[in-house]
Amino acid sequence: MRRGTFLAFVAPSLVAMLLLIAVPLAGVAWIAVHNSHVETALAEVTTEVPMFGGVTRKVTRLVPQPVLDEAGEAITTWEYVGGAEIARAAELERVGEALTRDRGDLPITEKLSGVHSDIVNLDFWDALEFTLLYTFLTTPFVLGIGFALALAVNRVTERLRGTLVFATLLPMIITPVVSALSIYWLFIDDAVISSLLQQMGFEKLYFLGSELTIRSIIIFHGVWSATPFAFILLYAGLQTVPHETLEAARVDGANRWQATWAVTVPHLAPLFAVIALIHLMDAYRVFEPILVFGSSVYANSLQHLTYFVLAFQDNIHKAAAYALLTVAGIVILLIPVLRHTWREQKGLG
Amino acid sequence: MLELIAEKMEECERPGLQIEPKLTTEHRGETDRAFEASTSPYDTAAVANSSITALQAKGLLTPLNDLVEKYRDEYAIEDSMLIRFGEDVMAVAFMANAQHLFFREDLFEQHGLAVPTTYDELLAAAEKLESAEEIEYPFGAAFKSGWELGNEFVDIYLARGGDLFDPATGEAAFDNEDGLATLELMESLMGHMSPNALGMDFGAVRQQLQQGQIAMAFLWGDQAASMDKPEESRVVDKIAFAPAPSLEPGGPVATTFWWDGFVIPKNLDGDPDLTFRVVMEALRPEVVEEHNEATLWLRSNYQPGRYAQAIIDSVEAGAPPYPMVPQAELAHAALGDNIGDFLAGKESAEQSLADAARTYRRSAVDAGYLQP
Amino acid sequence: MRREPAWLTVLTATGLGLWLVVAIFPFLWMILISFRSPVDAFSVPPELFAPFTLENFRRIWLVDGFWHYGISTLVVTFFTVLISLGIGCLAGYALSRYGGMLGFWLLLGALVFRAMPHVVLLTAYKPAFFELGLWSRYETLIIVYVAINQPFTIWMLRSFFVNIPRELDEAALGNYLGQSRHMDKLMLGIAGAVSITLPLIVLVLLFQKYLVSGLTQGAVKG
Repeated sequence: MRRGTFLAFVAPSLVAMLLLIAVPLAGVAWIAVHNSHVETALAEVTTEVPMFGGVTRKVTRLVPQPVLDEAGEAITTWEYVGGAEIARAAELERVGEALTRDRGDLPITEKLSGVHSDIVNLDFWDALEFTLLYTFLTTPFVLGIGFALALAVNRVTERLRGTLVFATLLPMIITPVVSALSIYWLFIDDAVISSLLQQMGFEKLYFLGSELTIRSIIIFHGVWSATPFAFILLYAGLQTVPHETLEAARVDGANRWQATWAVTVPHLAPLFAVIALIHLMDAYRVFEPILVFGSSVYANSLQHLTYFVLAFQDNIHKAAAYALLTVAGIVILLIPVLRHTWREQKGLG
Repeated sequence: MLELIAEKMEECERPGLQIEPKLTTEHRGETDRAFEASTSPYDTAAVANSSITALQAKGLLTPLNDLVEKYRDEYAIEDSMLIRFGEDVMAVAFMANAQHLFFREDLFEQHGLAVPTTYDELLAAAEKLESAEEIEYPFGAAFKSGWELGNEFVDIYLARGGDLFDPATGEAAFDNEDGLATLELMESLMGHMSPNALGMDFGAVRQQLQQGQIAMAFLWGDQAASMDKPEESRVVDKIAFAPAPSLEPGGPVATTFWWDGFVIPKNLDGDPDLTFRVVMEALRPEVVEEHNEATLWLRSNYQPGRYAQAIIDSVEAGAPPYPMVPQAELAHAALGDNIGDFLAGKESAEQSLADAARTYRRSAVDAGYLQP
Repeated sequence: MRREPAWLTVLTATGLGLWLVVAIFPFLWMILISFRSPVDAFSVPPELFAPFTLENFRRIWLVDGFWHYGISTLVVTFFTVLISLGIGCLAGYALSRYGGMLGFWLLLGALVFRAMPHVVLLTAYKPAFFELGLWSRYETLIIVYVAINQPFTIWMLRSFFVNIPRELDEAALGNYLGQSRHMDKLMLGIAGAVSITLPLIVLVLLFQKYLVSGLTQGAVKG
C-alpha cells in the first residue's frame, strides 16, 4: 500500500485519537503547571439567614469578597508555577522530611517501617502504594485462575460449554459499578457473608472496618472481575494448541502436567504476555471498587484520588497535577514493554 | 425533596419553553465549573449554606433584589426566604434542615433512661444500652471518611465556641485544645458504634436504625419521616426525636442549621426573569400546603409536624447556621479527609489535626484566600 | 481423546462449580433482593425468603423514568459502535497492508493511549467542554467514546485483516467486477466474523464507562 493511501485511511481514526486523547493530555500538563484564582480581599459582610417563623439571624464577619474590575466583573489571575503544583501533589517536601527525620537509635527495620508509615500517610503515596499492590497482586491470580478455568472448560462436554462460558464471563461483562455494588452488599454489616460465617460458627467479622479486610475484598473483586477476560482469551488460545505435538509428548512418556507445561504453556506464552499487559493497564486504572467500597481511609487508588479532587474539590490544577503523576506512573510501567517491542521491530526491519 | 421541586418546575413546560432539571450527586463541582465558564449550561442551581459561599466569593452570582421586588406579590415571596449578603439578595431559600437525635422510645422506657440532653448523658445512656439484647450497638452516626466525618467534627467543634479559622488572617484555628477535645469525644462515641463506622454515610446509619440495630442515631431532620414507613422500617412508631445534645448543660447544641435555596448565575445565556419565575412556580404556597411533610419549608404557611419539631427545637436551643464563609467549606473538607486516620487508629490526634491544617492551608492558598 | 482419570474429573467439576458459585452468586443475590422492599432487602439477618414485591421496578421504570436512561444508553452505544467500526476498519485495514515504520509508531502510540486513565482525560474535558457548551450532550459522549476506544479497535481490526491473505484483496476486487461467488462468500464469511465479534467486545467495553458517562447524566429528563 502506498504511503499516501495509508495516511488517507488512518486519518479519521488518527485525528479522533489526537484530538481527544493527545490534546487533552497536553491540556492536562498545561493546567498542571499553572495556578489560578479569583482575586479576593477581606471585607466585612453581614449575612442574613432565615430561621423559620419569620425570624432571621444576622451574622457579621470578615469574608473574602471578589475584587472587581472596571466592568464590575471578578478578576481571575493565572500564573505559571512550573513544577510547584506537581511537587505539592506528590508532597515531595514531606517525603524529604520523612526520609531525613532523626529517628534516634532504633534498629534499621523499625526505622524503615517508620519511614514507610510516614510516607504512606501522604495521600498520593498511599494511593500509589495500593494501586501498585492491587495491580501486581491481581495479575498472577488472574492469569493462573484464568488458565485453570480455560483448561477445565476445555475438558467439559460440548453441550455445557456455551452456558459455562456465559456464566464465567458475567463478572467481566457487567458494569464495574454494578458488580462492585453486588459484592459490597454481601459484605456490609450483617449481610449475607457475615451471616453465613456466623452460622458456620465463626465469630462476627466486620469486613469494612479494617485496612486488611477492605483491601482484601477489593483485590478479590479485582481478580473476580478480570479473570473472565484472561479465561476467554486463553480458552480461545487453547483451541489452537497443536494436538499432534501434545500427543507426541504423551507418547514419549510425559504425563498430563508435563505435557501441558512443555507444550501448551510455551505455545500460549505470547498470549499470556498480551493478557498480562492489558490487565496491567486496566488494573492500574482501578476506580469503581474504591468508589463503591467507601473508605478511602483504608484503600485509595490514583485514579480515584484524581477523580475525588476533580469532582469534589474546586481545584482543577491540583486535579491536573494528580492526573499527570498518574500518567507518569503508567508510562514508567510501560517502558519495559515499549523497549522490548522497539527492539523486536528493529530486529525485523 | 429536590425531586419534588424539579417535578413542579417541569410542570411549567409549554411550547417554546423547555425545562431540563439535572439531579446529580456531583452538583458541587459541576455548578462551580458551569458558573465559571463563559456561558453556563445551567440557568439556575440549588445551593446550600456551604456551597453558596464559594460562588459568592468569586462574584459569580446575580443579585436577585430586583426580581424579588418585581414578583413579591405574585409568588408571595416572604422575607424569611431571602438570603442576604449585605444589601444583596443572593439566594431564595425554600427549606431548612438540621441534624438531631433519633432514639428508640420503647428501649429507653424499658431501661428507664431519660432522653439525653448533653453528650455526657448520651455516653452514659450508651453504656447502659451496651447490655441491651435487642440491639447491636447503642449509637450510630455517619462517620464516613470525607464530607460526613468532617460534618460531625464541625458540629461538635462549633458548639465549643471555637472558630474553624482565624477571621482576620484566615489561618486554620482548629488544631487546638478544642479540636483535640472534639476528636476525643468522637473517639468515645465510636466506641459505641459499629466497627464499620468509618464507611457509613447517612443512608447506612438510617438503615441501621430502621432495621433495629441501633438505639440512638444522629441523623438529618428530613430523614425523620422515613422511620415510620413500613416498606423501609421495622421500627415503625418506635422512634422519637430530640434536639441534638449539647456539650454543657444549657449550652449550645452541637449541630448546625442548614438552608437549601436556589441562585442564578451571572453567565447564564437565558432570561433571568423567566428562570426566576419558573423556580418560584415550584415554591408557591400551594405546593407547601400540598406537600407539607416533604421537608421543613421556609414559608409561613408551613405546619411543623412531629417530624420537624426536633429541628425547630435544636435551632431554638442555639444551633448556629453553618458558617457561610468560603474557608469553612475548605476547612470542613480538610478535616473530613484527615481525621479518619486518627479514628482508624493510624496516627495520633495531634498529627491528624496538623495534617488537616496543612491541607486546609494549601487549598485556601490555591483559592486565593490566604497568602502563601 | 484419552480416558480421563477420575480424580481429574472430580477436580475439574469442583473447581468449575466453585467458580460458578463465586461468579454468579453476587448477581443472583442482587436480583433476589431487587424484588423486595428495602426493609427486607437489607434485613438483618438476611433472609432467603421474604415478601415479594414489584414496587422497586415500578418506581424506577414508571416514576423515575429509568427507561430514558436505557434508551439513551442504547442510542449512544449504537452510534459509537457504528462510527468506531467505520473509522477503525479503515485504519485497521491500512495498518495491515502498509509496511512502513509509520504504521509501527502509530500502533505503539495507540498502545500508550489505551493505557491512559480516563479521569486524566476527564480533567481536561471538563473545562474545555463547559467552555464550548458541549457538556451534557449525546454527541459529545459518542465522540469521546469513539476516540477512547480507537486504540483497542484498531489493534483488533488490524490483526483480523492481517489474517486475510493479501491476494484476496485484489481477487475480491477483481471479482467484484467479475462473477465468482466463491470469493464473495469467503469475504462475506470473514467480514461476518469480524462484524459480530468486534461490536460485542466494543459493546461490553462501553457499558463500563462510569467516569465518562457523567457527561450525559440527566441530559434526558428524569
